[in-house]
Amino acid sequence: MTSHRLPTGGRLDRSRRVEFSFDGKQLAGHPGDTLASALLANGQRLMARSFKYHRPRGVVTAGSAEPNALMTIGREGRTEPNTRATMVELYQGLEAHSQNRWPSLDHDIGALNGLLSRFLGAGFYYKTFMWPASFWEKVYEPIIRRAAGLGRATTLQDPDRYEKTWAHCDLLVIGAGAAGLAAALTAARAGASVVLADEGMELGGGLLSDPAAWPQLTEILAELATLNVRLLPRTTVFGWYDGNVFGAVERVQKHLAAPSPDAPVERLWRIAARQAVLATGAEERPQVFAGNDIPGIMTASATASYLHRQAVAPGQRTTILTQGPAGFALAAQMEALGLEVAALVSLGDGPSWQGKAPLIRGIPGKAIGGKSLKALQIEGGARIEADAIAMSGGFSPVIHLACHRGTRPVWSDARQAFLAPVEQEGLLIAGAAAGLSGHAACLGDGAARATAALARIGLRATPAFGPAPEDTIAQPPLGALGKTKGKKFVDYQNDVHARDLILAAAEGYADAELAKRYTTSGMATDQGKLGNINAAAILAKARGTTIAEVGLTTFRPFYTPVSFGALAGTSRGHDFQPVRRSPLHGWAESLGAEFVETGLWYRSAWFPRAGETGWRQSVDREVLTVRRAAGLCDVSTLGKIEIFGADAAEFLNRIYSNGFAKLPVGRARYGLMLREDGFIYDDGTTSRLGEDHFYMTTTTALAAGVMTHLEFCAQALWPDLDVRLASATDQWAQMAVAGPMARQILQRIVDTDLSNEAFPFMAAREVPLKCGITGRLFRISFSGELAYELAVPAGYGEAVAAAIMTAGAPEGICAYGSEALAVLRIEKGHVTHAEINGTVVPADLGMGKMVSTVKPDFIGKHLLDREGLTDPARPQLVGVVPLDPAMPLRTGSHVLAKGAEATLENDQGYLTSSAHSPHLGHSIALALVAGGSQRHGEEVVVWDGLNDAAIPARLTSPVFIDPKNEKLHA
Amino acid sequence: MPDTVLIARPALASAATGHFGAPGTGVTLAALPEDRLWQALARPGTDPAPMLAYGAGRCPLRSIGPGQWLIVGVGTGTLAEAQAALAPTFALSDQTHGRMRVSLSGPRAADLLAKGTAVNLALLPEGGAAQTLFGHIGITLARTGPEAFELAVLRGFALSLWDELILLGREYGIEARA
Repeated sequence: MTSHRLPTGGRLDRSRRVEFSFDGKQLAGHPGDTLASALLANGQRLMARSFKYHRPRGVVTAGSAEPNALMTIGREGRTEPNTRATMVELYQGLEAHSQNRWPSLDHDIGALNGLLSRFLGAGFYYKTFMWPASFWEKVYEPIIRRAAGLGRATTLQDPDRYEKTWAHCDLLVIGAGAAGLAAALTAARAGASVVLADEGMELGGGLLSDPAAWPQLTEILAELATLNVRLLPRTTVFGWYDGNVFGAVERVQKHLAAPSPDAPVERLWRIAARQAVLATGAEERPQVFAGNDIPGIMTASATASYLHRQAVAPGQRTTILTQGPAGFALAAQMEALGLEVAALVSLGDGPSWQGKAPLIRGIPGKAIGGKSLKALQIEGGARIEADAIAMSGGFSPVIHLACHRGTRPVWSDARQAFLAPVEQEGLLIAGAAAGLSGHAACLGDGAARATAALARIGLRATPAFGPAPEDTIAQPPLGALGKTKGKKFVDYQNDVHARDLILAAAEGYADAELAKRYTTSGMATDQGKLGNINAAAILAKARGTTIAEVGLTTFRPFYTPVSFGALAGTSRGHDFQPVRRSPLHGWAESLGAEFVETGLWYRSAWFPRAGETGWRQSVDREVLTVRRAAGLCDVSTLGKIEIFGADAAEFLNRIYSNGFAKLPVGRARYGLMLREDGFIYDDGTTSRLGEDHFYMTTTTALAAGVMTHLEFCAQALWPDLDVRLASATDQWAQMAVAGPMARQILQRIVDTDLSNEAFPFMAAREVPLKCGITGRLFRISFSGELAYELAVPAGYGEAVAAAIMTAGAPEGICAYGSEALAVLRIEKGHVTHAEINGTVVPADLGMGKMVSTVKPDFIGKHLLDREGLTDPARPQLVGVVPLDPAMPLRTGSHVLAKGAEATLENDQGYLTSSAHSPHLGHSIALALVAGGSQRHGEEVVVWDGLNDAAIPARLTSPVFIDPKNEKLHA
Repeated sequence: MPDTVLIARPALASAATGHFGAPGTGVTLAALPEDRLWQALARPGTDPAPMLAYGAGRCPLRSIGPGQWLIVGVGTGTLAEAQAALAPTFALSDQTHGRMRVSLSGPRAADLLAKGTAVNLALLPEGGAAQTLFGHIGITLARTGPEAFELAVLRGFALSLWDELILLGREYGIEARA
């Protein structure tokens, strides 16, 4: 037996057993255990195989920096790879599996890599797998990926829920150790709103490893519970962003055997803090000596944490390796608990020692053991039989977050550490994160920093704790120790050892950022939290410079890995995005409509009837019914904007390329809106409902864009104009009623004279309906037929649509969807954003006359004169028909001169829209073709590269039906 | 067809109702009557006093931007009458059918809202309003009481908003009434 549970002590609930499994082995622990502590308590020190050499590894920390003890936990959809056993709270039924081993953790074939290690040094794959080049992707990389790796993600769906939320506070305190608790208490007593977040399952940080501090901890937590503080244990603040917003992940139910479906398992917090105190403590540095990765070797603070929090001893005989007094304190605590300390090895000066263990001044030479530690050879000295080592190489303040917004860490000789500026805008650093040591000093510093932070926002606070002296003096990072041969691991997770870094420096990759990429030191899930400082020390020595000169690699979010679930929140499955329903959605559903997603809208696409076997059949019927009788189409998704104000007409006159100033009340007009560069932005009809009141329709796609454009023009370009804009898209259910019978059908519903004289083409006004409500009626046509658009308040939409269908039953009216609408408009040669695609000016579409020559100005006027935009050879709108009526034309096909090869140089344009015209009985298309307006009648070839087809075709007028517009005016 | 009777269909007619999630009722979600929701737009530079006076009556105002308000609630008089009274400095756009209002109340209402909006609710006074998002859906958020809020949403998004409020309210126990 090596590591084991002590009979008493710890912050455990020993009255309850928690059963779990590791690699199928049934084990048990207690509430209060982490997976790592429970494994240690069961004597399981071998927890993982390393990334590259598959070396046996045990746990080296007790916190979030853990590089070794990565496991896959959970099952099926809850499977989570690369989980740090040190951060997993034990729960009943937890299943954990080791990773990166085959066939088992104990007998891992991949360990043969260790024998090849002299060939697997830094940059080995850049050097080794150079030839032949094509082998890299197909052979070398897949093999390397399989041999070296972490856990595998599951492809099953995660059954759990995730959420996001916001919080606002006067003071965010990150870290609930001594400094953080003191900061939170100081601020909360002053009446500030406080959020206190800590990544651990219990608040207390380093105080939890110090039983003498527990009464004080209990007292502080009890007082905080009565104050205006939001306590967030199990919450990792992972990033600091603009606006003093912090990102954090709360593990709400990750520690529960059966998470409730009513709550998320993880919650992503965005915390907008007026001020923040960073009290993230410090990370103890491992020592870099041969064999320093054998299971049984961990940091001194990890040893203390397991001892005091979970009453777990790391072994039977522990050797303590220390720089400075940290190891002396641990040795005394262990001896007080009756544990055997094999030796206390001090690498420098330490305090006096009165304990039982022999005090040895020296440095470690080599750790001896395989899957478990057996002994430590002192460099040039004694061999100490020991099955555990607790090492302390000084401390590195955890300053990651303080550097997320661009601040660089600066080396401090006094602190022998990289520090971030203690005072930044919105953020102060307190306690061990600022380089301080000792609980009393950290309490005092946290209180002082919180007081200073509140003073910045005009709140007065009294420090809850006074200043106190520090415990210890700072220890320098020593880098690699001793001359003994053997791998001295710097970055455990990536299997980077000291020689790799020295090699990188020798080969010209001595810069911290280059060395990281050449050796992978500081990569992967722990991002070098333990190793980076020692790596910098080694590089400094190799370069003959100082560690300050070498510096650190850049700190970026996330501090620790964040699950995709937390980032996605509720945006998955049914809740992936909101649905926008037309007011006629229910009406269309009742008629069996098939819907198509258009942005967030669901538009009715076609209305299949019994006996129809494919969408084309339905669409053809709808088109022919509209052309012969009448149809009703939901056009509610078009953007609708109400424009008010004394200068509304002048405003529109500047917005559109054609004239709007003289549009009479009661009339609608089709308008083209250009961009500043002269290209068409959007089109639509705008009606004048009153002298100072217009109603604009936009395309569905650009409804929001046009509204924004208009607001910008009104507010920024012409603030002197009296113009006011209101979006009315959702207020109106709007339906197109089109076809030769449209008038007689509508006349049964609308209580006003609809004769051609009384309500001519392009009339637009409010009309009473015969059932007592008021609508807006527009005689406009997208289909090319006699047509109206009727808008009624949205809630009445379904009832009015149903009434029109009933009224039109004698004529055989049908509902038609967006597919039939598209066929109708292509037959009529009307354009949509398929043609208005950002590359066309009005003349390209044959709409040159819609560019006013008399208006002094309008948006797009001046840049429209550029010679490239007036070139007669520009692509222009034409119609296209196949010579063989049986051949289908497909959108996206290119137009070539007859006999020309299909090359880029010979390309003359492309088909923007195509459809089968049931009216004509063959395929038709609209196209943008070079000089097209002058080429009607010319035979060309339509080249469809995707289907490898070259279809003989003829260019025509883009208007396939009723070219004289007689139907519109009927 | 003088015999046709048209009945307006509420946007939330088919919305889910009942109790959802954890036991107890931390939040109550309710659809508010679709009586009136008028958008008032002031001529630029206009003194807002007449509008504020108007809003001091039975139908409160929700400020949604410089010179713009929503007039909400249940009142007497038609839009035309109100328009006549407020013309020419204030224009009214009828949005009664364009935006739905729902109320959210209870001890956890603010916690539920924080899951969707970045607005600092502690700084939103009673009667105050903010144009914001709930998740991906634009809303006009107003505080109507210490633990009560009103959300106005575009009609087309009303059902999605309703469903999302229920989903995110399950943690606190939510009672939904259409």
